[in-house]
Amino acid sequence: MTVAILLRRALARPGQSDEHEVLGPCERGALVAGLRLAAAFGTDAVAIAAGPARREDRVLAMALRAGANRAVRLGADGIDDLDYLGLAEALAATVRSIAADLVTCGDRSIDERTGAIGPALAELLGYAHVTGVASVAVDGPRILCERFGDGRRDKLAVKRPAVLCARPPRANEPERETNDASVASAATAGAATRHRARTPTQAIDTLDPDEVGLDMRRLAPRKNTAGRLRPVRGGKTASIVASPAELVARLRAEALLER
Amino acid sequence: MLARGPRDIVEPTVACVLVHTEVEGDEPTDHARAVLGEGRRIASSLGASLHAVAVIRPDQEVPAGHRLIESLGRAGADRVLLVAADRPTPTLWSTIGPALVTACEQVQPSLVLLAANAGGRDIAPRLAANLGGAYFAEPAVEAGPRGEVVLSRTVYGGDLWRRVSLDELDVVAVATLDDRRAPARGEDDAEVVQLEGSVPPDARVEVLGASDDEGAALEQARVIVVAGAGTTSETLPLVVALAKALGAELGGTRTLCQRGLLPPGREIGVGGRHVAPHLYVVCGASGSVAHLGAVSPDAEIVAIDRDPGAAIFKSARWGLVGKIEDLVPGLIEALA
Repeated sequence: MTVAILLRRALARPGQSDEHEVLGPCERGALVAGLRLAAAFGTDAVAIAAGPARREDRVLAMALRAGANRAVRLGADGIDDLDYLGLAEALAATVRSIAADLVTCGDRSIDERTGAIGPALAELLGYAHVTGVASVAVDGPRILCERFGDGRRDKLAVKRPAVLCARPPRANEPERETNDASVASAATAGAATRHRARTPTQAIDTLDPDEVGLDMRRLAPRKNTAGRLRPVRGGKTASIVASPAELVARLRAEALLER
Repeated sequence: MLARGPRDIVEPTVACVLVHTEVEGDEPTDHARAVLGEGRRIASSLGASLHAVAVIRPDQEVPAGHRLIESLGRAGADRVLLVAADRPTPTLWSTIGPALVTACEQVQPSLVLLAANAGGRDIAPRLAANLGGAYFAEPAVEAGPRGEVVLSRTVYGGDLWRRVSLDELDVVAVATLDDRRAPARGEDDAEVVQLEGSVPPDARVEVLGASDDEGAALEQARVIVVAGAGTTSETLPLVVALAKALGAELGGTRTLCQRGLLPPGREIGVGGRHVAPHLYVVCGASGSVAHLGAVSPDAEIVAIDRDPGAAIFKSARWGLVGKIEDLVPGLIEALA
């Protein structure tokens, strides 16, 4: 049994790393949850990312410092052009190659905000899945999850194999309750920056598509289903109003006030 | 598993739009009516039929002429497909996902629509993957220059659009839609097709229970006032009073909630709640992607910040530049 932790560098634009965020909030939640579950089950945690080394190795090095036993990067040309299902197929092949029966990933990325990779990965692997996971705990062979949604908190028990799509540790909640305090602190962009000089990139295994049994040519049609990217024309800027009274008048004129 | 009899055979259609319809009692939810309304408009544009699929309990009787069928017909459905699931609640893939797959296998839709709520977000991407389809989360629906149906959404902090025209896809499209859409007005004579048997849930996921979620009203609120990092314990009461004056729900950014000024259930952000208000009043927040990424792009944003160069003013429609303690009292007075 292995816990796979899917990570991904936050992007400011397609293919361009975000200068301020190494990991998005949900990916930080996935890292914390994955390490916590691996410790509770007494098994290895393997961090996985897909994409070029210059972008993703920093994320994987962060995971290694936080406590992951191994880091794997799937290097494949054109992977950024695939839609959610193409990327999920590539990740599924990587997960199979390390024989992971429990996967944590972010519930929703900060850039595309689609929230599709975890459920699609679970479908391809034939695993159970839970989205919106706010907390995890282990109860024998089961994983107890708390999930927020539609006005209630659902408490679920999940059996492996499973994919858990994590939200960040919620504000005010004890992100440091994990046994390894470094998990919480290292799972931040700041920690990665401070310790970048000690990044053990040699410890990151790079896998080619062939090594995980992935035929990238077969995934090529998934480039056509992602939709086209277009710049938003005429970036807007707020109309600065002179006074609160003028603001209220404008809101009333647009019928935006309910009372 | 389902035992399909002759009466279950649904004649294939040239094009079909399938809408998952959540039901409370004998009525579709308001969100389901909104999604059905959009589905009706798209189906009419494509010359397609509109199927509403409702997942019911195995012991539930829903004959033709039943109030639910009439309601779905009036909401725009041409045909109502009823699928029984052993455990139809809560709405999750593990409870009703296989039932929806069965419905899709029956009618071979070209477009599947679900509500953009926690249940829909759990189900839709996996359903799309099961069908080998394209997936679009909470897009705007618009007509292209040739009259084609275009789905679009902003990504990368609002800098880019991701767009697709349905007529360019050679696979089924699955999308979640918010509830800001007008319901349709159809007839009450929708055809009913009920599949025999009942679909079991995914036994690997067990629902242990549920409790109230503090702050859940934010997700339905039409007006929200949010306090950001620039709000202090001294100025927070002013922001609270502003929310009260506007009849708004009060939320906070992650930084503010981490400081303990608001409970975690009130956090708005990519890692907190996702909201879709008409009016979103931001007090002292910078406007980071992690915050505004959780706010519907359709929301009209009002920003109050002391820094005229703050990024929030690039996302806002209107702005007031100044300190919270200087501006908010005047705003409350003007609202009175």
